[in-house]
Amino acid sequence: MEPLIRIRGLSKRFGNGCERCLSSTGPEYETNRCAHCGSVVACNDVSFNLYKNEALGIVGESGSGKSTLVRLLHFEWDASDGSVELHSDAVLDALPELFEHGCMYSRNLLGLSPFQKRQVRNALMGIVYQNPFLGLRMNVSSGGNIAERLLGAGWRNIGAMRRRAAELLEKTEIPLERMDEPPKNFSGGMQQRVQIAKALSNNPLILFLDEVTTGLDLSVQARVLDLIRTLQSEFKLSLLVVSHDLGVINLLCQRTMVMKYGRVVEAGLTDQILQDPQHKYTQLLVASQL
Amino acid sequence: MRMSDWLEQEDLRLRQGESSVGGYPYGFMDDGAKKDIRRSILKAVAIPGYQVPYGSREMPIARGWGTGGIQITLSLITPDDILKVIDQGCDGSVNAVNIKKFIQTVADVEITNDTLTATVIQTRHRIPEEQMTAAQILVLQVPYPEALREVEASEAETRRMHAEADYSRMWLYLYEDIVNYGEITISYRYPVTVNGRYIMDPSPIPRWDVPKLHQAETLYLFGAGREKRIYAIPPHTTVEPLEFEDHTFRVEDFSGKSCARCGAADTFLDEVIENESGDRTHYCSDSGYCDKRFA
Amino acid sequence: MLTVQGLSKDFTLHILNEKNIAACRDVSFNVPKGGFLGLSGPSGAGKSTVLKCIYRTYLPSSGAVWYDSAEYGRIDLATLPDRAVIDIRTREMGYVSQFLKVIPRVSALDIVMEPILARNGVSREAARERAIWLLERLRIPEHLFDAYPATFSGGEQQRINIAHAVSWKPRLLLLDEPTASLDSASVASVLEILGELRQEGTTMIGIFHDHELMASVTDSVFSIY
Repeated sequence: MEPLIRIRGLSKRFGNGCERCLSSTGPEYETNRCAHCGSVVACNDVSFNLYKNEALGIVGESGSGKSTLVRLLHFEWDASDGSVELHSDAVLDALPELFEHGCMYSRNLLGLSPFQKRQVRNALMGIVYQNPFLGLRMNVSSGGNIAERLLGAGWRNIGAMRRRAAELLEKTEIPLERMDEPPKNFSGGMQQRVQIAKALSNNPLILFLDEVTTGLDLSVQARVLDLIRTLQSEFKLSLLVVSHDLGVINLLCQRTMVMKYGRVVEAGLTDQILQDPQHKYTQLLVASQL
Repeated sequence: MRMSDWLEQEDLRLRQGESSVGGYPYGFMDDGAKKDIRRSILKAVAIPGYQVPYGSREMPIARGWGTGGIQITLSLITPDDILKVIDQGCDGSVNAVNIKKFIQTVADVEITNDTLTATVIQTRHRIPEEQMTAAQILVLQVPYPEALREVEASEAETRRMHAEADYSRMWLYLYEDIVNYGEITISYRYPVTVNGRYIMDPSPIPRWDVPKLHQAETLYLFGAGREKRIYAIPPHTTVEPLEFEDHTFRVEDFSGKSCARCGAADTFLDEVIENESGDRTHYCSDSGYCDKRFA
Repeated sequence: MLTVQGLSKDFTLHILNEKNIAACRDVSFNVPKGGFLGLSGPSGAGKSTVLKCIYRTYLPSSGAVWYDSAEYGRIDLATLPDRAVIDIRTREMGYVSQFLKVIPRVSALDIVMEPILARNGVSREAARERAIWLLERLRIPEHLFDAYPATFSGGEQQRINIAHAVSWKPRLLLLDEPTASLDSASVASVLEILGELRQEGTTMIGIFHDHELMASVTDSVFSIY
């Protein structure tokens, strides 16, 4: 099977950069900040494939570059270097202009105009952030939050949008009578579920989950994880799961990448990463697990 | 030469110059300024609905009192033109009269109250009831040119939204309006999509006037002096109010009401409440049209 | 069907002064199609290590694990790309660990159904039927079918674990002390189910604490020292 999305050499540097940035940062140097010019190498030369209906985990501590990676792939930040290509199976019908004639993979998505990037995002991506304030408009009704994505995709029928919102809120176990209430009235767990409903509104192929259960209490966390598992198999989603919690990764992901100071230090099957970690940092991470 | 001497000499030259009217250059602004504004107008016409930034000049009126419209009118007007100025439909309001006096002073044009004989009409908050022609230009004064300001405070962000046609938040605003109130509650400044591309603020005209923007014979020019923006709807441009398939755009409903003065039942009506009795009566908002019917 | 050739596994503990632990050394054996091989040896000899190397939970340090895949032909599991390992695990190779991986808020029935549904072409109804049949055979009380195994006893959890591993009839089944925490009646049902699987053609490799039991179920026994 061909990958749904191919990521090669993805890098992000904050600051002017110098010739010695790459040779003075990374896990061996225990820093992502260049000692010579002060630039931060948030993520360097990250390559991987994401397949249809698979959940790929990215673990690492704060500052490892895992959230940066998601923001680059979701086009929120501009990458310094690298390429992201989509398989034609996924979106050839919706976005034919991304594909050279007869090519199986799209042009480098990182080179698209902001308008095209938003089209790609609207057509196949969803994201759930750790902080619901990033993913939701707190003063707009929950139904409206879901409708926003649909409106962006050209929906112009209030009734149809409300039916779709109701369907998604039901799936994410939000009582329908609260559809017209703003998320600011909701608990953390409910806000997270509204975020998930919003992320799914456009029928995405790829869902980015950035520390989605961090900060939720355990029973709520279990509920959110169960919801994600159910939705993944129902909609055949590809998940990119970013977390510092190995338990979450173990539950959701078959494959895992370990990041440290902007680099991927190890990648493998999740059970192998947890039971036979190869890299020093991964061993430390696994040994520190509660 | 000393600065004061130069100024005196320059003043004299202007007073004696052929193109001077009442001691000012023709049209108050110097030719360079007028040319500059006309260039901005041309760009606005070329990109219907797009807000063209321009160097708004000082006028002998405070900004926010119609200076955008005045600058457009002054940059276009010629001695052969016939000018009409209205404020909320009325030819006789203080603002309209003062603007007419000023333009007459600096441009020496004929003034009229008749929509059909005017060649240039400057207006605030209304489009005349009588259908205008391809030979006429309507200049609208605009207080807030940014239709997206309601949903986004940052100018940098609204410019990005226009550039990328990222209008979902504007639509979301309308969605929320319908969810909360059962209908879209915007009564004036109703946002429109121009030529299938830009969302545009049509200035504070009532909804009644919005359909007149669509596929019109006349050139519409919009000037915001304080905000330094000019935009345009050229003749025969598609202009669609933002609406949903199941919640369509509606104009004000005056059914069963008519003008207490001329009897018109097909015009935009102002409601007047009598001080003593509290009775509500209605009059045409377009005073020129009402006068014509009443005469 | 499966040929293990010179398999060794070392663990290098970078966080403990690069301490090296040799878990198994130069292990070679062969399992014919439909066979059942028992692994025996003292504790710490590396029996579980060998199974985990075959399943690729451990990355073998050297040696090869040749497997005749229905899908890919003869392949070396020791060096197979991750994606292919996942595919083999989904379609051909099952593993019964000593403990159930408990998933919060997923019922016993759903855990057993999941691997059946993961393979294409099985209806939800058929999967459900098979899962219920297995749970009944393993003497799980019916009122627990829709309960969450996190709250079950150790023996119940282990039986769910076995049902989960055999429900989809894997082609190759690895068993790591599957009966350790079970009472004798449950052990009997497990052995019965394994016997039926063998008749349907499943090849097995197993570690059993009880030597008599191992001798009775396996064709041959390989000793690791």
